[in-house]
Amino acid sequence: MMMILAIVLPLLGLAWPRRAAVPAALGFVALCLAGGTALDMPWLGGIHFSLAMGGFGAALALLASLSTAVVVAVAPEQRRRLLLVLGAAAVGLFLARDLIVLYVFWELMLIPAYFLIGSGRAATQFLIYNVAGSLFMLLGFLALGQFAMPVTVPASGLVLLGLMLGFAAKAPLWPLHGWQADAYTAAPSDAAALMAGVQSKAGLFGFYMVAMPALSPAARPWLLAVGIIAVLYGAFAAIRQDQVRRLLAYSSVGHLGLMFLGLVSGTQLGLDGAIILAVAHGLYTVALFLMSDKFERISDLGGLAKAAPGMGAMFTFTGMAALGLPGLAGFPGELLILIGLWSVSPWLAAAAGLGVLLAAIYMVRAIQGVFHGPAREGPPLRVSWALAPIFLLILAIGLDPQLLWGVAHP
Amino acid sequence: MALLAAPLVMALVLAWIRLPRSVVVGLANAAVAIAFIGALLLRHGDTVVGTWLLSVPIGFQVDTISQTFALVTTGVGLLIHAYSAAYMAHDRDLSRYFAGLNFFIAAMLLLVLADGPVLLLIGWAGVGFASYLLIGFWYERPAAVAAARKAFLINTAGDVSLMLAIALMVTSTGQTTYSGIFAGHVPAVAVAWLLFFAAAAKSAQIPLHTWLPDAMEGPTPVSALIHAATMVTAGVYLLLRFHPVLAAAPSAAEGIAILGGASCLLAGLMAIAQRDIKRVLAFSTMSQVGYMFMAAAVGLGAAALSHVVTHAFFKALLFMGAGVVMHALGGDERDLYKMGGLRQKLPATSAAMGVAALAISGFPLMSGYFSKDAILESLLANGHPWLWALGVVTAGLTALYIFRMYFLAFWGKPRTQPSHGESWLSFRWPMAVLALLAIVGGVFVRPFAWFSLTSGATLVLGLAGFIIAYRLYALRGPVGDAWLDGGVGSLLRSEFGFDAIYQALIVRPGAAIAALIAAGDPAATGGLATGISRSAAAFAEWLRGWQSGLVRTYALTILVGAVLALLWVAVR
Repeated sequence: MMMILAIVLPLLGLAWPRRAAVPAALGFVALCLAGGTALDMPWLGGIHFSLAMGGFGAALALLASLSTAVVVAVAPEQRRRLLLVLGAAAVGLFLARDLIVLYVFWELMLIPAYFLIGSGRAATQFLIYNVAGSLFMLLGFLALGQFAMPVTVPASGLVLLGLMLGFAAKAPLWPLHGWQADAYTAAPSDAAALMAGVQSKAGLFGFYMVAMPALSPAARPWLLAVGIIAVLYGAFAAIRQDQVRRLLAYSSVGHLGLMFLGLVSGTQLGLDGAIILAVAHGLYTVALFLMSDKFERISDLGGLAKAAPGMGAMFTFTGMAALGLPGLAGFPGELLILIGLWSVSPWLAAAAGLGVLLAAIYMVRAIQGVFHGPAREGPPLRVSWALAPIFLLILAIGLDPQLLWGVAHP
Repeated sequence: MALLAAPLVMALVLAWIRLPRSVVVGLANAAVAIAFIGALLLRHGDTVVGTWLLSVPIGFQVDTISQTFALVTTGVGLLIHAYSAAYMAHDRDLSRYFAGLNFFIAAMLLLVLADGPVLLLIGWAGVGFASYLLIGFWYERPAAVAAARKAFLINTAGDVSLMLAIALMVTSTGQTTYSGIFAGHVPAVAVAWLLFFAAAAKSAQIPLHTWLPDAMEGPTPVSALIHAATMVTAGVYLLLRFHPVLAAAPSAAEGIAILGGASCLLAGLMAIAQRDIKRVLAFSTMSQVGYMFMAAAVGLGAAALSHVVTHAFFKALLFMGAGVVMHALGGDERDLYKMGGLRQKLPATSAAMGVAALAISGFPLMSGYFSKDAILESLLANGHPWLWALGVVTAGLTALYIFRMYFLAFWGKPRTQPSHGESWLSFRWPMAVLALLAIVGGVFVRPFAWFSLTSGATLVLGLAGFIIAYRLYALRGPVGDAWLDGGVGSLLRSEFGFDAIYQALIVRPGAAIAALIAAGDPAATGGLATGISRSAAAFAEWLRGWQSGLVRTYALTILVGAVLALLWVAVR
């Protein structure tokens, strides 16, 4: 019941966009009360309307629900309806325990996301990648012959490839990330926040629930290779970006690669690390995109710390979490993934470590490029109070990752 | 753990709440005073405070090493807070400054009191972050911003190395406390080297030292506290704490000691050629930490720890003196060639700097004499004659560079007229306390010896360095640097070309890879989307061909379809 409320309550906001953050926040409260519950109704054939609040999905659903409330509170009124649909669909997706239910929410996310990006080339590209990807994914679902999640039947090579195309295009994982830099720059920053922070986890969640339980050992080296290339490729590309949101987009490519590495490392530590990092990444990515609303090119910015010290402090804080500073939320996940990777191969761990260092390079460049240097006139910048819960969680998870533990391991 | 909480809470308060300036100073100093008292009252033993990730028990561990570091951090920290009250009195962002300084104290205490490497890493990164904030404190100056970035990135490389070391220790032993890890079996050589890179980044040792001279862009009290007395000795702490691992890998320990010796000697040489008074002191710090690395790596913990303590006294004092000089010359004058003759206007500072210079060059019965001797004598006694020789030669260099700096600044004719005197009381009393400690700090030294063969050798070389410095600089001023105009001098002035080499070997290739990927990515991935849409369009075009409107074609299609269907049924 609480799970249904968590999905439906935010949609009440469709009727009152002015106060939309209130029902969205109530949806989050409902989800917090839903801990450990499950719902299963037979529907048609072997398909069940099945939801459950537990494990990785629970952590991600909470992230999605909270992020939706925050983003809707910050976004201008005319966009709130689309954001609410996107957020509610994401919550539903992470609660889904049946492949067809998952697929319905999966496609439901696509529609508001498309309109939020706009209608130009970026939106078309987004649509092409995701429609093509989810087509292959649906074929993969049907070929599996089991609808209940997590899937227990092994996926053969071709089926796995189809599933991977769908998951990778959604996240996006390298090399299917072509749509995202344009989309996150073309979309308003609130929409980009929700897409980069929350929607991106759908791909990981799908992989975790559908492909991973019966992953054949032969596929693992290939997936590890994809992950490590993503980490380095995304980080190197981010170093050279001049546009703040484009930099954040490539940063996401790298970080999603790191989470993917944790999932496919085949170790419990790597898996746990990926779950923690997924939530942490969602939190700091939402905050960074929301704060970057007024930033365009780093080369045109600088010295804003003087005019906007509060924004400078919070952007630095969040950026430090994003580069994995120990003590903040980005760190425990990265540490566990590195430990997990070490037992697979020390070289893989070292390469991932290089990715962590590269992340420090582009994040510090972004922080200093925007806020430091000779003072300049800038737009009036204030950090919305709506972001306070996100900042608190970044600190709390960093200091006591055990908090997240209780959610992901009921 | 009140000693940790007081500065941490105060850092948050000062960062967020706007308070009158005198209240800011009072609160910041009070927090460090509480921490200092807490450090004095620490009882040796372990306390488990809770569990961290994966139900790892975390807690604090107090022994001689951690209590010594905690006392130096809070004690010298308190003096520097008091000094800062005067030094930063006119700064617009006084509150942000003290917030950073208090945060640093809290992080450093966490680093030294943690009972396992994971909690240590949080403190380790915390001091690095504080260092980044404070080097870049004057964020409108491009040089300070660049220096902060360089320090942060090199330190992050060290953090990653430490993370990998932890990964290796945790996977091989399944333990997360020091005692648990040391009881298990770890691949010692790999762990030792990973720990060394972490320590070298934090302590500015070769090959990761290039950030420290640039870090002098930060406010001078910050240089005194973080980049001289405390944070840069955290690498020594790491080596001391992981001594059992180093002991299990003698070849790695020997290699680390040799690199420490190289830092000791090369930094001493580089210090000779600097014109910037703070850069002289930065290289001097690197050189002195090199002594500590040599001793700590080969297991001479007591001697290394002694030098950590005495070095904190005289090096903090040297930086405070440099700060007074800069202040007197109008705020930010660091060029030794523009100083000179300052002992008339700044007699107390001149005396304090003289005491510190004597202490660092190992003048008999001053603190540096005993602690340097403890290191060198133990090195010799434990069969490291080559490291001993490096250390003895560097002792001579130390006297040369420190008295070159002293004579250029305080002797000879004034080359710039000071605009201020040393008027503030709080400038002076912290310096007086440190001067006293720099003289009598030898009582803390273990193993303690009044005299040895080594002290004779260092004395002779030190005296030679002093005499050369006196003849070249006390009498002739900057002209004395003429001998540096040749090939050797340019090598020293280029600081052995480390920065240029790193630019060529690491920074530029890395930037090229990044440029290549960033430029190629839109084309590579854009092509994919275009490809998908083109092939979809081509497929549609092909399908359209069937819908020709010709009944003949439709009939043929139906016929072929029916035959195929029948065949299918038949075959099944």
